[in-house]
Amino acid sequence: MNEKLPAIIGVGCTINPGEPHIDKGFKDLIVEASYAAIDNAHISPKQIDGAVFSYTGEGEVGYGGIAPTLVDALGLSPLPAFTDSANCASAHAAFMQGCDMVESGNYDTVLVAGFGKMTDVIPFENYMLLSSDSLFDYRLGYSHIDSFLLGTEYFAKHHINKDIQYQSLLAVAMSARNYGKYNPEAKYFDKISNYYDLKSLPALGCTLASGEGASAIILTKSVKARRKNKVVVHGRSWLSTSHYVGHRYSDQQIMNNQSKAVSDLAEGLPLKIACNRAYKQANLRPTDIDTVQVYDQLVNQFIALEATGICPIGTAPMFYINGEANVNGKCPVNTDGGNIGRGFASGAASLYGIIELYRQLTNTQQGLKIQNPVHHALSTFMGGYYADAGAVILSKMDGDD
Amino acid sequence: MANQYYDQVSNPILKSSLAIWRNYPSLYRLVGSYCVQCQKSFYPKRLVCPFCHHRELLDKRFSGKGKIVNVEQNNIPQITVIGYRNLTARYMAIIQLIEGPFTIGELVDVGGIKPQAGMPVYSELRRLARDSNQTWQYGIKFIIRDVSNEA
Ligand SMILES: [Zn+2]
Repeated sequence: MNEKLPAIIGVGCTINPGEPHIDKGFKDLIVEASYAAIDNAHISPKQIDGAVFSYTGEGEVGYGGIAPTLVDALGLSPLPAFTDSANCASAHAAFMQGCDMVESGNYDTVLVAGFGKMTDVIPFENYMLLSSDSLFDYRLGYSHIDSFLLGTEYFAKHHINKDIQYQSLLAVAMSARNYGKYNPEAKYFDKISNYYDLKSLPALGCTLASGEGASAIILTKSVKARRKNKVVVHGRSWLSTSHYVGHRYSDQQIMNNQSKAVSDLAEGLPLKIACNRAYKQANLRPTDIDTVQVYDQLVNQFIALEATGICPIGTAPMFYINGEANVNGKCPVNTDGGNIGRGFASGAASLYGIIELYRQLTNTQQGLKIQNPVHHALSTFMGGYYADAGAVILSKMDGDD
Repeated sequence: MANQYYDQVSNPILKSSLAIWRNYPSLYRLVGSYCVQCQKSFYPKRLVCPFCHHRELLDKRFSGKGKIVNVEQNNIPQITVIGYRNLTARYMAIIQLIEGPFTIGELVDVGGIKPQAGMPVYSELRRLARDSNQTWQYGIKFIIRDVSNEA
């Protein structure tokens, strides 16, 4: 094991990222999550010598350059701190940078923290719906939602019949709510869902629960992470392609001759490439992954699961119907509830997934425990519609004490 | 064109009209670009050819003829916030122009037809939502029509 690999030593988040929290501002949220992570890591705030923050962009708080504001709010000034923005995948981008900082040897202990705070800025929803190239799509009335709706060509492309479509979407919606029901940090905590209600919802309940929250992770060098059940960032990869979805249909236009296959909206080719690079780095295969986090909404969990290689192409709906994504299944998916059941706080969203994987690996999960042993876990996320794609593999290693 | 969206709210994103002015040819006349070296065509315009990285790209006005590659109907009321309050059921499509490039466009005047992949379309300049300064914006949309035999 490479001792330079970054290790996670602490995690923290605010509860219920699937609802607005009008009594809290972005500073309240980020301080709460960051100090939960600091406490969880059993370190002093003074040990943090670098930070990376994420949020979905200028639309969220009305200005750029937010790092000093957050460093000051956290009482950590002066500190080298950076900001990353990549739509829904912003927190994954920050996590990647945090790992790079630790691995460079220039930083010992790095705080990675993201927040989503939509109700303080009136046009936030407009900006969030952008997630596109703006002038040649958004201006024509094309929003982020249209990409997801066009993504339902997945069903036609793989000849998935109406009954399987229906059953699989219901299975996704129910699985997310069931996981959420047992997770005290989730939107659906302690709530009972039934199929009758799901059938009356848009997309049968497979829509993410947008809300507010913050999430944080403390990273350090693997060699310094002296603890039992050490969790290292075993492999990671990030890919930026294009927001303009028309380019996704053009032979090789954005994939730089890496694949003859055109990546239409039914396929997550950028994520597939990111996952394959992460697998290679970790010397693992999809069959080694014990649990996975994917961006769940409409049909995207199917597309993303297939991009990870955990499901063969065209089989992810049956994977859900057969219960393989459940806590006792072949590869449990989004065991904290995911975007749908836990909730989705844009700039913080993807770190929630990494936090859940860390907890399953260290047996500190808040909700349902995965029944099979968990050694390797994969977190994936996308920004825009696979404009950005990130894959992170966490592995449990034997500790020093 | 006036029969489309008779009373829309303005798009609350405050954007200067300069960006639109700068892109009039592309936004109103479907002008893209092509690479002098490898002859590939692009819409929207590119500054660098992603295939051969040549930087001499010339303007190219596309015919507006194409076919539907992927289409969806958006009924979600959320799109009202971007200025389409009175028409929440809209067809958005990926269109392949006969010259090659794939573009995004709304299908209009659909009538009783259910738009499907493979159908021929033709571009028209239509009204969009109002801008933040209340002036009407215009842009390219598509109608379902086979003009392959028309001049
Ligand atoms: Zn070229």
